[in-house]
Amino acid sequence: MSGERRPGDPRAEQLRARFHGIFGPRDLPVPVDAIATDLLGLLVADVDGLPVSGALLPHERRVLLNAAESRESPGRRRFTLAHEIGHWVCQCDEGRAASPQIFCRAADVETNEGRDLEREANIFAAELLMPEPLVRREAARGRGRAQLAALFAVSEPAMAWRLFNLGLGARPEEG
Amino acid sequence: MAERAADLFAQYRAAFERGEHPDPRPYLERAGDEEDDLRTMIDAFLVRADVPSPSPEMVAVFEAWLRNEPPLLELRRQRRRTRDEVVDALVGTLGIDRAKRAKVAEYYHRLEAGLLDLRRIDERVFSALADALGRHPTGPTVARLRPAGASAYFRSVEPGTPAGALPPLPEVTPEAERDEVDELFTGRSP
Repeated sequence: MSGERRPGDPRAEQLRARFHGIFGPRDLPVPVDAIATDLLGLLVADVDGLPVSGALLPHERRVLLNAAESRESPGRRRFTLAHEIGHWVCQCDEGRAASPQIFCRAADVETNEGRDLEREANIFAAELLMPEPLVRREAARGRGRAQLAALFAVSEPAMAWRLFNLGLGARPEEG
Repeated sequence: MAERAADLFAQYRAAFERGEHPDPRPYLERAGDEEDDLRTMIDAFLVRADVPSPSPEMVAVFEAWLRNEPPLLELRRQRRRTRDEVVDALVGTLGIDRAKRAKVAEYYHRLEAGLLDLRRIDERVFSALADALGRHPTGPTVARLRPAGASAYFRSVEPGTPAGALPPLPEVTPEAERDEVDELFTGRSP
């Protein structure tokens, strides 16, 4: 990750607003599975033996998640799902893009374009799962990083980066 | 008076006047030996009926199709129904064993995503969907889509993981194990 703070992505906020407008308001944590399934019409499946954390198959409107990781860390699963939703919204235009330009996989990550797309999806995921106003509100109530991570159902490292990017915490150790 | 035909005609007319563009075939199939009576009633009605303006809901569904979004997804969203609610309704209405719910969910996803051959789907599925969504899902609501591209996006565990190692997606059911759920969604002769 770069050392610079990142802005959020308004498309994530718009997506949450669309979901709440149709299916009604929900308490935290952000209902990322319902956003994928009920709003976007994606099928989400946890798959044993998947050699990656997550994969989006646009032509099938299907997200595959690494089942072992899901069992190990539900928070990481949510972030991976939000990341794939980011690809679906930002690069696939929710399926309206006739041909997504990027075939993003390990071999492509070294290209600037691949890195940019992964970064965009990560920013989207953070904004989707950890909405800035709610994080600020809960942080102002004196909740610590671990409490915030539990409240938003994300991993502590993900929350640490979010707090840093919102200017609410120190830069996490990379590792 | 052909009471069965009259009752079915009243249902057809009500659906037509709601702007649903109902398909007469399911009504005719349910008319039994009064099918000819019902056909005459519908023909006479359609000759003089004004074509109703489409409802805002149907406009939204058609616009979704123009955007290459699944129209059935848009209809479900318009009705504020979750996918689980629709799948549960299909399982219940079609009298499917709850143990086979996951298979129904997989097929419903393929139907909603425009990935199934509509000609092979049993009419009972459409009738059950009509109960679940309040509209018979024919015509534009289940139109097939242009493919959304054949690429895939990965989030890698480890840098350098070979993306080509993804397992192929299995068929819903191996040929030797097909059951009534497979028959409902893929079994009808085109």
